[in-house]
Amino acid sequence: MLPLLRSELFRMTHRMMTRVMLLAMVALVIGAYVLLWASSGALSEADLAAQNDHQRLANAPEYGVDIAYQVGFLISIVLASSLIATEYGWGTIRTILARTDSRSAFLVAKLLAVGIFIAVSALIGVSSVFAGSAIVTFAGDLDSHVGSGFVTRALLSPARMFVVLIPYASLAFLVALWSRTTAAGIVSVVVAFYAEVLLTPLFQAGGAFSWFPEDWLIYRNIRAILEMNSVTPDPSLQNAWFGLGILAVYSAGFLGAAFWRFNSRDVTLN
Amino acid sequence: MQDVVLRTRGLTKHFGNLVAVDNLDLEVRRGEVLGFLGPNGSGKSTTVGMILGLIRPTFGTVERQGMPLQRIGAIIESPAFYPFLSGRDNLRALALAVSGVNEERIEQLLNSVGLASSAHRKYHTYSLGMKQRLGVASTLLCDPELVILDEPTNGLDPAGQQEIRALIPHLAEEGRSVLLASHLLYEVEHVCDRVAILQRGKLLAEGLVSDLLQREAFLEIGVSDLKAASELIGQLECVRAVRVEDGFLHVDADANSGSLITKTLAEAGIYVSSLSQKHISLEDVFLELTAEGDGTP
Repeated sequence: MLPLLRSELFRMTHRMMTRVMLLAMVALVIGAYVLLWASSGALSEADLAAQNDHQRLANAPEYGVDIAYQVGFLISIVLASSLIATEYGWGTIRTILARTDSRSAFLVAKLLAVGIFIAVSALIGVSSVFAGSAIVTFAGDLDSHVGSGFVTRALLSPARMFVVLIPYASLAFLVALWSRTTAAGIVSVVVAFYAEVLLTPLFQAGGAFSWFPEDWLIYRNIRAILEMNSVTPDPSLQNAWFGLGILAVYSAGFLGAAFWRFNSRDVTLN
Repeated sequence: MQDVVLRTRGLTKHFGNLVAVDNLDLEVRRGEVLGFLGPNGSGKSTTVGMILGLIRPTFGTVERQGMPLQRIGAIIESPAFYPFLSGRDNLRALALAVSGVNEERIEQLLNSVGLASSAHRKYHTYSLGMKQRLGVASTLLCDPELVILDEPTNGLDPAGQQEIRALIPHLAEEGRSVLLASHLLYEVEHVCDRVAILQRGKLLAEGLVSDLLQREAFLEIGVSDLKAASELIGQLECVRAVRVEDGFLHVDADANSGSLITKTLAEAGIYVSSLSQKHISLEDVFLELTAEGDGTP
């Protein structure tokens, strides 16, 4: 399996798309910090104080990671979909599988490559968050006191970001594998995400859907992990550890289905 | 008996109601070049897919005699590589996936297929012929015991086709076995030791190319009295069939039976004006067999 992983990483690092997406992560995260700060002149005094509090270094592990998550969400589903679907599109799945005695090893290598990309993007994303926050904190002369526990929270940030990116990337991977198209993988996640975000308030507002299992949905549990230690936590969110368990179950389900589908399907030649 | 490197037993593949390959028994022996012929849709590619583990058989088995897939080099239908990588990096990516292939081997292969000077170019900029050459290089990457080539001369210019045709017997000389699926019957006739002809998933014929061609060869005899000569020759033991065609006798007989036939006719007072051994090509054999298999006259 290790030779297959080495080959995956070789191809991934030689692909322009991978580098562009990671550069986009840096540019968008730092850009978001700088733009928000630069446009803060139009805010009321209260809003400005709130924004400055969010943007200062002490709150980067929560507020900034939320920004990095939005970018990471997009690039992780694009990469997860593309990494498997393009093998079908280019026909290279035949080239590699015809030299591989284990299909599962091929898929494990692919998933590890996706995992490594997500881990790297989480590290780069969080680093960009701290860079952006540091720029704004010092350029805007914001309160630079970070308080106790900051280092632990900062060090845990990439891990939290990694964990929350996995479920949707797993769903994208499954759908892209099943459909053999990158677009289907991306669209399925976008649909799942917006369905949850848009439909949940409707179900809650009606009151008639008390059975609706909102605590078991994906994005809600992602929020529970992202908002750990937040300055303004959402009290309706469940415990982050519970969220982690739910996301693990979703990810395992998506990846299990991907393995089953991949191992049971012929790689037809046309 | 020659060592067998690959054997299929009762290999069958159903796609829904379609029987793509039907109870196929096939052997590839060490050091031989086996031609695998069949019209489009006859099941050749499905068979190759099953040999390589890409397609799961409905019934039957593929026995690779303990040979790992890494020791089979294959181009399936058309070469497929990563368009964003150069020719050299594509071989590197494959080498990494199978391990045990060094940089020197990659350069050696690029040289041998004439791609050394364009190995730095991205694959998507390659011509069809260059892609095919890279495909051939990739099949030889892991010092394969068995090479499967599906239409290897597709897209190559005449010089390139000649190089590939020369390469195939050379592979066999090195002790490798080659399974060559091709529509170019001339190509198969001249480079293959044995041939297997497939139609609608069924094996129509299998054997040495020379045997197949000999089986279909005949003597063309010119005589004045076709009817009497036909009756007389038909009684000879060495003659399997006689028919009259275009003012000549076409005699299906052993290759060395010419002298006995002329002697028999001369003794009966029938003199031969011409006699020639007519050879037919693999293309004729192929068309005849597939027409029979198709139910067309």
